[in-house]
Amino acid sequence: MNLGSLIFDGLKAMVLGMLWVFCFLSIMIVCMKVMSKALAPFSNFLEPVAPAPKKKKASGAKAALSPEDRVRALAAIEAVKLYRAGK
Amino acid sequence: MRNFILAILFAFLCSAGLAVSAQDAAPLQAAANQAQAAAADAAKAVETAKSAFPKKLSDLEAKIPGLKRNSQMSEPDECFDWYEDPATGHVYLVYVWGNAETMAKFEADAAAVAAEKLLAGDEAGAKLVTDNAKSVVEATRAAKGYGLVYSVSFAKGKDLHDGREILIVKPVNRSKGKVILARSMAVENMKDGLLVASSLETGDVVGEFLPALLYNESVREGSQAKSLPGFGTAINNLWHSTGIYDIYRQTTADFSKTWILGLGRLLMMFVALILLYLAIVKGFEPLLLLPIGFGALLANIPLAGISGPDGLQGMIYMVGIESGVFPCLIFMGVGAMTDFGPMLANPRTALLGAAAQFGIFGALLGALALNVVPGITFNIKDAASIGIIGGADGPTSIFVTSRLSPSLLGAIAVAAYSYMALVPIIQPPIMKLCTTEAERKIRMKQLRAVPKIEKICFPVLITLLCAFLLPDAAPLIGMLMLGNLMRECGVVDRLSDTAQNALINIVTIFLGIAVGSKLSAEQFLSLQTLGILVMGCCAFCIATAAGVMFAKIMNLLSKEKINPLIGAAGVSAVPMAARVANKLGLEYDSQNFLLMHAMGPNVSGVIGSAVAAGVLLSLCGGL
Repeated sequence: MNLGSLIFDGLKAMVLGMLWVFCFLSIMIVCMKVMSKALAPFSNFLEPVAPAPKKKKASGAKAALSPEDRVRALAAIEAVKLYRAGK
Repeated sequence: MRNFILAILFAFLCSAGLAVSAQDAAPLQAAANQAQAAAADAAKAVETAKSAFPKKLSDLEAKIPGLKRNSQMSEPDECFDWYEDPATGHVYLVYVWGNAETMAKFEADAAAVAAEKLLAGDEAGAKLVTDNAKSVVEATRAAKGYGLVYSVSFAKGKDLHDGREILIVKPVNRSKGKVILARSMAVENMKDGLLVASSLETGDVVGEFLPALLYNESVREGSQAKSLPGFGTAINNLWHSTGIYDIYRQTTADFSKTWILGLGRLLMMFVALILLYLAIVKGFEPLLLLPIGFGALLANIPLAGISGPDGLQGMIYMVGIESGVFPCLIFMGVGAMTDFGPMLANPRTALLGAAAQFGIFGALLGALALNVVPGITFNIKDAASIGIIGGADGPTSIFVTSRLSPSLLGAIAVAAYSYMALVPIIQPPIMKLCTTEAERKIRMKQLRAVPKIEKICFPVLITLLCAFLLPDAAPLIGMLMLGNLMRECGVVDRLSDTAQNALINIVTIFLGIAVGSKLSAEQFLSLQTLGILVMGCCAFCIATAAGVMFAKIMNLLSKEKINPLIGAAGVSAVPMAARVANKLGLEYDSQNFLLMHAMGPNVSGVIGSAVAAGVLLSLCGGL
């Protein structure tokens, strides 16, 4: 087989191969989206149930924080809010 | 007095013994003479039989008048033929490449191809084929069909079962190939001096065999008792059984053609030591390069035949790689370790995994173009096996190559794993070249949390998709998804843990050893290996660039921007390629964490490369 026909075979393989890979993954994406929508009502099904948090006395929790810690916590919350807002 | 009596008694007994001996001596002597004569006759008979073993087909025809070619036993191959002695049922394997019949068939085949070309109007092509065939025939005749023996896996007195490889021979103007028995045979005799690095000529009788339908392992009592040879012979035999002698013998048998079998082994041992160095000192994919490197060391030990059909490595290769079992088991482990959540959260990034497969097909074309280089011959199957390196997926590369071009397996596996280890070095310059600084700083939206039920349904969905669209990729994708289902379902934690740890580790050891067996000198030391290494690197580069460029195209078409760096993670190499994208992103924006975003194309690249492998197997498997 001469080089020309070999290269032509290679081109055929390339076109078919890339086409098939894109088709497969595109169909996969569509299926994933459909599946995601179809399963949305059951999203909590099979999820591990988190143990209910023990209620703590608010006054006790507040009392545990020193004024400095409280300022730091507020600053951290504000920073997260700004980051999420993209600023 | 007492002593005197005892002395007389002793003298009497001795004389009596001598008298008895003298009386018995005559018949004993006769018997000894007879035995000696019989032994001499037997030795003479053995010598005669040995000298009578015909060296050439013409000798065989002179010795056995009714000799006929056994067309039923002959494979449709032009290199070897069976000749049968109808009186005894013994068959003789004869090397026939270069005889009038094989050359006529070769010319006829070429004439048929030329005729096809003429019909298609390609006169120049037809002339080229005819001229080429003529020159091949002339060269083959001039070389008397010279065939270089690369491996001998049978010996006189052995019982061989069908499917057993007995020789590897490289006939002049043909590719190297295994000679495999298609029937069970007992080896009655074989050509003197048939060793690795010896040569065959047209008409050489390689061996005498007796076809067998049944083997009985029972032996007569005492029939196995043999004594050691003389001291000199024993020392000579011991010397001949050393590696030094064998390397010297193979190197000097016909230096220009056989140095690869002698000195080449030493070179390959050096290559094995380099692989061990890279694994241990540099930490390049040590889990695989270490067993591969040590496997290469074992495979090149002269005379041991560890990588032959009876050797440990040969058996592991046959069981695990030729059958395609090991790559599939590795895929199961990979599936059990992979979280498809990022891809499920942002499905469109899966397209980047598809784009990166362009590296596979680009390298395929490149490998075919390498045929212009003298000394390099790649057919479409070889090119497909080389291209799959671009998938950056070791098991997929091994799976495809073991099916399409087993002879290239060693070089391809080493290239695939070496380049995977070099991803942090190969990818960043290409990623920088294909993107602007602003593009590298693009921040992506945080991914949604994927519910467990979606993660459980995903592997089942993909397996069904594969079953309907591409069954050729089912062994790889099916096992990947089985491993992933075990991980996500949460009810088989023990199995998932085994697949992620114990099983994948065990298989990795055997896979490395088996791949190392293909790093023997005669298979690795060639210009083709250089071509494979070059094209493997090109495949990685093309795949990286394709992924990045496709991400840029997606940005042109979509409102929601994608950081093009994650496109480079479309080459599988999980999770290294994703880490590289993340690291490069952080270099330009210390708050831009791309790891989870890059995992989407990264895991879709695994699926994409398995799909590409399936397409190549489907296209080239039947050729």
